[in-house]
Amino acid sequence: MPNKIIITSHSRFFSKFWQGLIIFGLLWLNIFQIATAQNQIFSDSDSSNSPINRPPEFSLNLSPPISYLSIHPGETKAFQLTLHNSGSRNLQVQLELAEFESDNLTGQPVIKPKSKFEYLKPKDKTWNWLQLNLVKSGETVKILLEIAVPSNAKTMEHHLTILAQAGATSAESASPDASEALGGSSSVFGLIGSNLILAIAKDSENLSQIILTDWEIPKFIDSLGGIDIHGLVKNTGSQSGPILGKANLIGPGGKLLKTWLIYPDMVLPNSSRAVRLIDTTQDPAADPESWLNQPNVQISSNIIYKPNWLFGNYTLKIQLFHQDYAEAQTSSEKIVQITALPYGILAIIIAIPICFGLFLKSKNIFGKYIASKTQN
Amino acid sequence: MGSGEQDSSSYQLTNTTGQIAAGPFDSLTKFLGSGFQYIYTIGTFRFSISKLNIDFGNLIIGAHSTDSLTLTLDTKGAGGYTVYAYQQHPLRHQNGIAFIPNTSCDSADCTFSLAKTWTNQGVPGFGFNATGNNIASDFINANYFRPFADQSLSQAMQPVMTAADVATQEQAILTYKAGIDANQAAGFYTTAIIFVAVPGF
Repeated sequence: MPNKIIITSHSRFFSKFWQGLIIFGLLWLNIFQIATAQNQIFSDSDSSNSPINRPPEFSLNLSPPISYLSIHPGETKAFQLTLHNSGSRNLQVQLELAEFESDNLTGQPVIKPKSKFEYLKPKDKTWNWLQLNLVKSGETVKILLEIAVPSNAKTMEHHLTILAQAGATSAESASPDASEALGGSSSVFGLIGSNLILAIAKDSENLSQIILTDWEIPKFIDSLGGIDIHGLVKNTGSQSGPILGKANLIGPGGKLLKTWLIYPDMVLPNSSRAVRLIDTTQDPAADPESWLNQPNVQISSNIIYKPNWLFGNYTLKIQLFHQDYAEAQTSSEKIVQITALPYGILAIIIAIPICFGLFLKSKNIFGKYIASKTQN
Repeated sequence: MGSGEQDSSSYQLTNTTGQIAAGPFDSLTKFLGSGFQYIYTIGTFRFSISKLNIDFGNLIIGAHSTDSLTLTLDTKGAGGYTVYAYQQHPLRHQNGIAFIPNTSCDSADCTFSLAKTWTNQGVPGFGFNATGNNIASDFINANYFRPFADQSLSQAMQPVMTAADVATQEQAILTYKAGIDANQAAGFYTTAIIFVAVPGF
């Protein structure tokens, strides 16, 4: 029996030993698997396939972004768009036509969907408005459109946006999971636009008329405050046109202190736009085009002159031109005298004796009051 | 740069043959000398959306569910760009009757054009937040949400990104959020969100 017991205990011991070994082995295997999985996750996050670095599902390039075209009544013109799918997915793309109007400030179009403009149509019937076309990932397509204006068309300017739309197909949209008693999803669509400003005109004359409108220029400023001015222009003509203009600031001694070139943003007819400027003080005599074509030209939204100290009369002259940067072509002008005086310092100088006088007076009154109280 | 009109027997083809100028503006004379013919061809306008499906998964009563996507913009034009957004309708049940309403935020003060704080998990609804480059100024931080403009109510699409100048790889992360209360009918709710990217003129 004892032997039997010994044998049994030995067998139990070995049984326990093997069980323990197996559990130990499984544990290590598990740890190894977890570590491997984590490594996989980390290596995935470092690779180009991670969600962060993954190429976008929707990515469309459209060219040209903006076109200004003029056409005579009775004339037909072709117009070409280039569309490139740079995303990771093949896309079903459809074209649609919208219209836009100015926001009267920044030049950002305010889109009005569903245009009724009839004279612009895709020349290739497969690209008819709202018709789906497959554009594969990496593919570039040229889309030819035709502008056919009847001879009796009204001469006016049209502001159009050609939109290319693509997005999730119904088959690809997130579908409900059977385990979800309450779930939600949203499919996403993207539209990219190309703006077409189309003037139906009888001749090629520039019919824009841009004038300076809302400029709040102070006549008196503080010597320590500096000059900081912005303003708007308005196109009162019947066609879009660029803001061709300059501004300069002349100091008390007649010295030219600063010059600016007004950035030639386009202004739609019967709309306003805020002026943007390039500081040309370094070379005021240079041809405007050389400034405009500088690679990293700095554009600001304000006329700013802020030295440490201003004193005397300054003259700010803002000029707009029609068709050319020539004095003879000046179409709108604003000349304002700005007087800089140390109003803040003067106020302090005036305030000190007044405060001192008030202090003495109140001290006197208070003294008399104390004295009367003491006598009582 | 070459730009102009090619005559053909039936029509004229307006084309361009590349840029010489490296600057943001190509040639002023294009539209000064001869009327109006001017095509702005500097680079292209590119708009990317990281993914085309937003999935909230299982919606839980009294808790908000989120998912996000990234919008990316590139434009060489000095006129910048605007990205508008709108929804076809609120999150709608498959039965076409029940909806998860658009959020009105914690204090019932946000609208489709004005974001306000929405952090209270007990307030149900559907809306979005934006963070990143040139996002609409009402998204003060990641707690500010507003509902999408609703096409079914004829609400005008609203800007979510705007820039007035050249843009290179400008990105915004849009976080969608949905929450339900105990009265929400069981089932699956869907909608479609449309992003419209247009260049400045």
